[in-house]
Amino acid sequence: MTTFIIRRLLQSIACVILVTIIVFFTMRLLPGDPIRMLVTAQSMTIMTEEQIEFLRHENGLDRPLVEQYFTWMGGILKGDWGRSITSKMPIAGELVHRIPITLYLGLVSLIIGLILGVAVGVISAVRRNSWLDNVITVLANVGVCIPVFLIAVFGVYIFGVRLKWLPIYGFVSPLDDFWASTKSLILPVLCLATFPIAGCARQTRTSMLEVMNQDYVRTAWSKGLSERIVIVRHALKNALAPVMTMTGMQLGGILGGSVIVEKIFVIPGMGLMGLRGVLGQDYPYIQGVVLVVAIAVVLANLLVDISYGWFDPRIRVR
Amino acid sequence: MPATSVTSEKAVTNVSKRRTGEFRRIVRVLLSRKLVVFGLVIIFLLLVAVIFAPVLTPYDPYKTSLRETLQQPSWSHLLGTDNLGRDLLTRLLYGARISLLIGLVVVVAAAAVGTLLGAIAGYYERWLGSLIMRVMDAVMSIPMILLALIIAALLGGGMANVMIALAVALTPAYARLMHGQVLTVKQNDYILAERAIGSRSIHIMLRHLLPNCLPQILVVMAMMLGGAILAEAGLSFLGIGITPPTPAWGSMVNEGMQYLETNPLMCFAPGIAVMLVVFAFNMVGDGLRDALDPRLRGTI
Amino acid sequence: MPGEDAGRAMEPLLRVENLKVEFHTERGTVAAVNDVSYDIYDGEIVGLVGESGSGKTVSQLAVMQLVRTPPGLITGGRVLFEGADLLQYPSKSREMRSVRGRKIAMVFQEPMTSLNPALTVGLQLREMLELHLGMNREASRERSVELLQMVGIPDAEKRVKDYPHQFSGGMRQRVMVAMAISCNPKIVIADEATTALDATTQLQLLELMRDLVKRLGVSLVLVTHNLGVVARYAHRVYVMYAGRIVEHGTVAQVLSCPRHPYTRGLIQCVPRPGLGDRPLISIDGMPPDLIELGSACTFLPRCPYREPTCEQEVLPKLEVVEPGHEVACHLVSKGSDPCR
Repeated sequence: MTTFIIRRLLQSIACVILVTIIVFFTMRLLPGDPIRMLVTAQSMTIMTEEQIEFLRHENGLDRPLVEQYFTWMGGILKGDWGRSITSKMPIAGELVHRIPITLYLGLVSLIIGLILGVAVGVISAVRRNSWLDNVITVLANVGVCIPVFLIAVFGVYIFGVRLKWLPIYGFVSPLDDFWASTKSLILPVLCLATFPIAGCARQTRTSMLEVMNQDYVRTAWSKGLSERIVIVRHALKNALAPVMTMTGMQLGGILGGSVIVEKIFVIPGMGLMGLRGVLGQDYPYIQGVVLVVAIAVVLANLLVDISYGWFDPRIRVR
Repeated sequence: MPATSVTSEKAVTNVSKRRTGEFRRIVRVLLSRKLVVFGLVIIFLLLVAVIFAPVLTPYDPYKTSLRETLQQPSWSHLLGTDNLGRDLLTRLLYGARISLLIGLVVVVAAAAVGTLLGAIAGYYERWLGSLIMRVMDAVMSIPMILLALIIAALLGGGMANVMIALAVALTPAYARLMHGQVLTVKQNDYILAERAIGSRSIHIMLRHLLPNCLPQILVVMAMMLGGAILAEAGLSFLGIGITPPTPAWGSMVNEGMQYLETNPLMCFAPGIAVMLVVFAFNMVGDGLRDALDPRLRGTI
Repeated sequence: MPGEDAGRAMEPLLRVENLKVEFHTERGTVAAVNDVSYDIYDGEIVGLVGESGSGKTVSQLAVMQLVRTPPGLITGGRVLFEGADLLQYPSKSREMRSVRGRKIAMVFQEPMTSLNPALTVGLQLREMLELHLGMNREASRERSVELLQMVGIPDAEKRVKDYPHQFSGGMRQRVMVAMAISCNPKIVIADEATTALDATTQLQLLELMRDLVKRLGVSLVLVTHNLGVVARYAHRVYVMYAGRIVEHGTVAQVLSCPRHPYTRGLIQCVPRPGLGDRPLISIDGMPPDLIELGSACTFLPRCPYREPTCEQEVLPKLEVVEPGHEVACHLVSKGSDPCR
């Protein structure tokens, strides 16, 4: 198992390096002047040729690309992720503040999604074709169709505007005031977790139904084990593998959704930062966010693969 | 001579009988599930809205009217008006065009490019094929909305770029499907027989592979249509892609957020519209998949 | 030998009476097990022979209430065990759970899929010991190693921590046997337990089972389509066809002179070396469609001995031909005896 983990870890690191190369060269090779990495389009119009040349030289934009890459990577590893061309603030600093927020929001949503989704999916599978199963299935099917902003709108309207129970914007760190923080996060998490809950429920149900028809589950029944043990120890463990893969893929949806949620609820997370970067064509911003997201995705895939190995020991041999 | 013509005639009628019989069976299975019927009804309504929008409503979705802003639902404005005095229902109907258009273009483009790439990858298995599939895997691992955001950032906003971005995100699924199909079918004897008589590769691919894979491609297309529409709604909500004043459902919700307290319909109507349409396509896609090949359950 | 004497004073360990199991399919209702009765006595090995679709597996699953419901359903009969009718208890009840694995255990056909791939072999053994015998961790660990040794798995100490995919097919079946005997059951049902194995491994496994059964005083039910296995290992045999028992008796009685045409056919089918180029004999026709069974003898279409009178009568009932040996055939009832 350990060799498996180490191997996957090395693959992941290689993957991340590959991503940095792709990110770097894509940014540089785009149509347009690389000077756009430093100044906005508007600023460029009021600068003289000499000023542009000066900037270019100052920042090493006239060096060979490969050299630029290593300088850039060096900066990244040292913690210098460049500066935003609109706000002129260092990006690394902002990222350090924003990443934990988005991470907290995303992880809470994902974990709630996984736990609730799997629980609901298991119930649905075990009580197949009962009214409960039918209700759950329909709800799950609907749940994957609801746009994140619609839940937000409903939630804000019902709980914020009409009932006034929950705050509709702002973020309080859980480290400062846990209760207030939780109150402010109920709506955002509700929005983000809906899709994962529904998706996990569907996948778990399908998976469980398949597993419960397997011979080894029949063997488990024949041993006189209780329903709980058969379902949890024998069936679920085998059924969870595809659910985990799907959860890994959910991460993407959550990251995308968090952009929307952060915008609606004014949460100062990474998603909002990325959005501003995209809308303002602030390349260093975009670069920073893309890098972080890529690392997050690779990490998530790594964790999913490792968990796969735990669920299905046959995989470990490869 | 007469004997052969009779047998070949019979063969043709048998084949076409089989095709219609198959078609009828598919329709029967589809209609047997209430949710699928529900989905088909919604899609039908959607098509009506798309095609007959100008007929169904006397209003212009772009024309502002400062006297009639933020009105509540009434007989003249069934869903009320928005902050610029435009009839909400009209904008909803015209928005259907945008959603469906983008959804269809994205899915069809992704299907076309994806199946082509997948077929090539399957055919030239060794290095070209494996290279293509690796790239597909990489693209597939990037979350869809983020991919769209990145491409939008790099190429600028605008509808075309958003469509390109979404299509790129959806392409790997088709490539994978086609690739798998080609690899399986390649083993089949009748392919070997064709090659033995000297048929060219393209000929083989078009005449044999494509018809076999068509049902599955259609199922994937139906199931992805919902996802594409959902993604586009999210993007236009964020202000990327379709921007006001064009009536895209996502951006309509965005505009309406400020008026949630007084005119909640501005947000609810387009949002629910997105949900219904996506649900409809998902249900029909599920139904198609079960009708065409229930074994696909769990893989697609 | 137990069970051979006509005037048995002993009570059977397990008595199945008029068992009926149906399956509801799109095309109709399948009478998979149709009025089946048999007894199992202490310490004996009973063979249950029949081809695919004869109902032999389903009948055993029904005893343990493992029939998949839906589409299956036990519609009638009694399963008398230890003074109670097991069919009175719901499938998931505590009573049934205390019988399964503990009093009656089963070894299934497919070694590749019958063990849980995500759990170690040791755990799959231990959970039974801890549940049924109340052992603690330590004791169950020790005992599971012992059990593996008993079934002939080398290096049991290490192997107990391995996963099923690390064992060969024959070894996995040995593990299944270990699981079956782990709680000292009264009856072990081996449902085609050796069918999926190669000939040598089959033999090894059967020898192992017979050996264990003798040592532990367990009764064994050998469900198989292979008469050779029955001939070699069983004391008594029941022959099933189309969901019914058509003949039963001791192995000596039935195999030396089978009365029922189907049993005769089965014996003739066994290829014998040394017979030269004689063509292989098989039973004409196909197994019947269990949905469209008529009211007459089910074997009629394939019976080489059939008479016109057979078509006019209803299903033949089991009747005694000699002490301990019963046959369900009109011709035999009317006195025709192929062995004289």
